[in-house]
Amino acid sequence: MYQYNEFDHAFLKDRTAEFRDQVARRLAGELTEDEFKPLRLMNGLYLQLHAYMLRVAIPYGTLSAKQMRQLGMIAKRWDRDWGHFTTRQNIQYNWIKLDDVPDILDALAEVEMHAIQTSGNCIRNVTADQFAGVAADEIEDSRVWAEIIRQWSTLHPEFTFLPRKFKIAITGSEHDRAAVKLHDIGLRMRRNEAGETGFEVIVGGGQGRTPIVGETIRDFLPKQHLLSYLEAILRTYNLLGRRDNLYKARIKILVAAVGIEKFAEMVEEEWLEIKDSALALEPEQIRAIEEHFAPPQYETIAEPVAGFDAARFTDPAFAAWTRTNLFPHKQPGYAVVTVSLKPAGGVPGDATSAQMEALADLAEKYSLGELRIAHEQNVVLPDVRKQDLHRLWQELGEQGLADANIGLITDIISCPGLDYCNLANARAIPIAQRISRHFADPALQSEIGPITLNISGCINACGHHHVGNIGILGVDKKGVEHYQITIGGIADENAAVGRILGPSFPAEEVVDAIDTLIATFRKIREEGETFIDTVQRVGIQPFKETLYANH
Amino acid sequence: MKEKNQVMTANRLGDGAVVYLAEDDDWVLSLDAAEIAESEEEAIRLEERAGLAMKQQKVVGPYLFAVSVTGEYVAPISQREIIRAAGPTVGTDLPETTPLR
Amino acid sequence: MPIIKNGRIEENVWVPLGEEGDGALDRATPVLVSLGEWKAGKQTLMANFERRAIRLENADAAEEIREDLDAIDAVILFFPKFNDGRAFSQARLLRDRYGFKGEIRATGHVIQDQYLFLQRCGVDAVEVPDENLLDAWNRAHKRFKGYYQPALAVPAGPSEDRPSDGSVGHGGAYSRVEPAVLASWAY
Repeated sequence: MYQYNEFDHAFLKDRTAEFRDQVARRLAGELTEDEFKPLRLMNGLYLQLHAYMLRVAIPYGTLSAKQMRQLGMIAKRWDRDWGHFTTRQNIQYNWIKLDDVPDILDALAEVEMHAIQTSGNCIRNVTADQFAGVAADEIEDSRVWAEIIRQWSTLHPEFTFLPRKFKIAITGSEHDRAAVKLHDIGLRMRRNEAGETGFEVIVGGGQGRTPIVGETIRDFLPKQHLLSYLEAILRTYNLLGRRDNLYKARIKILVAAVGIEKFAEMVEEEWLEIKDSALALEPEQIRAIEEHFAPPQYETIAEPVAGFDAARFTDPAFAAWTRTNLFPHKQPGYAVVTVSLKPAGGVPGDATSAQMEALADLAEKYSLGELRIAHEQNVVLPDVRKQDLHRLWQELGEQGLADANIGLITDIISCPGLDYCNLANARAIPIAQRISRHFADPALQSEIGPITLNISGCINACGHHHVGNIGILGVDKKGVEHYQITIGGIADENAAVGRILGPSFPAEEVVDAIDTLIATFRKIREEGETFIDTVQRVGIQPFKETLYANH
Repeated sequence: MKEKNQVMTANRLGDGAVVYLAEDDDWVLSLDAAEIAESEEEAIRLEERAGLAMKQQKVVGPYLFAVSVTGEYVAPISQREIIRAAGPTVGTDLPETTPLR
Repeated sequence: MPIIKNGRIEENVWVPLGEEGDGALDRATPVLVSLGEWKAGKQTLMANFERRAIRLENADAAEEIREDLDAIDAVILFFPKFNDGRAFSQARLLRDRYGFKGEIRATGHVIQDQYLFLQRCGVDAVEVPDENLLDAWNRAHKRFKGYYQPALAVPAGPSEDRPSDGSVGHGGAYSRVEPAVLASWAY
């Protein structure tokens, strides 16, 4: 993990002092709410329905046991004993008092964390593959680059007042687990013919009101030029992005307006001017960051691991969990564990302070002290020895964290929706709760197989509904919550935006509607097909017909 | 039940709590105690008082919303205001059959 | 309105050309023109006035005056709203890319929390509503001791409290610093 140096600590201290001062000026009336708002937003502080909400950055979803413990402590001391992990790999606290925020930021700074740029029209917390550094299928550890981008983008003097928010995601694997094609900039590590690694640069993706799958503007960018290239894209956007209409201010609208080729040309032209400036990264600068992410001292463990196999053969519930919640580790004898925050009837992404504390303990005991947050709102223990898995699973069970449903229908992504969020039109969490209760039977979930079901409470799409195999969007229909259903969305390297099936449903009918879609799928699926396979084979028509047969 | 009844709400500056404008320029936590504007003129006066409270750093983002009044009982009409008044509806201990509304 | 520059209050000297045209002002008057006025009467303005400033609107491309910068003493950038950040890039291009040496002033709705960002983009003067704010702005000037990314150096404040010896502090990615940006990273 990245360890702060003296500079990082001093910087954070200055930053916290600045915000303490800003809060004091706001309370004294020296700053109006209009002036204060962007400043608090740049420190992740929103005003939501019931209280202030603080969004804390978990850079590229990586955190230490110590940091997780502190997040739990903050929930306990300054919030209502829980936190909510988000689709941007951050954590949100829902019941924060403005007066407490400077103290909370100090507590975060103690463990090398902050809330900088988790909101506002700036470069947001960069996201990455939650399995970076440990995935068996990766080309290179993308966290090195995510950290370099984090530093470069932190309080960037030129790009702090952009036309609109700006999101960057990065993946180091062929299989994209970071939804890079749905970001303002998506970076995909590639290997060129000479065997060097670099980046495919994708721009203009995004969800929200105008969902667009990003397009490639450069097939291969040598690594040392990453920052100058990003700076060229950002400068072009800052000068030319629309500022007259909030809904047309994202870079995707600019790219669509000028065309991808013309946009690529403008970026390249700007880049040529700065490519050899101080932004060019020297090999030793890159190495200095790489050292922070050097692989830990793994034990040499022979496969198969006897104890692990024995437990699987004798404990069916454990075996089921290992089928869904494990991912291949690059080191023999180890596994990557995803801990589900999606119990049946639970709130997707919520963890109590006791659970956070327990996860910190378990990370220390079984995962070399490290954790990750996945954008699917789950927690990852990246470095677990296979012989420890059974015990880990039992201990997770004691905390209500042993659900075996990763990648299945109850592993629902959901935004906070109208229960908390000022922007929402409809509730999202209660819908997720009802659906996960309805499909709670493990045998049924296993029979349905891999599927993604995403719910957003408004068109801003924080719940990624556009790219769910099944997407549910809350809308307000004459003052009553309704839900529009899409199918066919995909978030990975084959990214696609789902298609709307028809008129929206009132809340009471949503579970039935999803049940109908699943029943239709089970009837028409061919041997070995997942839900998305079937949708791609037959199109949306058969689903549409059964869904609206009785309407 | 009368239509067009409105209540002034906002979030308190210091802690963000949902508050309602009551008599004597008090901002109260309970909708019960809120002052109800029964006409456009009364609503405008609530807006003026809220504007002042904003300038005095008491509250943030004040606005009027519609309520129904049945005898002594005041209730918000929109789902959003119901949730603001009564809190989130996401209790995880609800039985399976609990309806959303 | 007062101007803060180099940690002190200055008064604005630039006089808009106005509707009467250049006939109404004498040669020694420092004149302020829009980009449109400059493009329409560049030669006359250069002949009739000793000192010239151009005001750029947010949508104006700084590129348009790139070739004329030797004939320009100051560029006035305008913030219609403080969160309209185009002027940051305009300043950066003028100072960093085009090598403009004259004053770059930020006017309009600018707040002290932006002061360091502005300076690091090449702005060296800001218009403020009230000269009593000088202390607060000077404090804002000293808010951070170093930065994560290369940009322009922050000019020294009134008390020269910014050590510029070799003790370079920096974020992990940067162990080598160009002399031009060294000062901005020193702490």
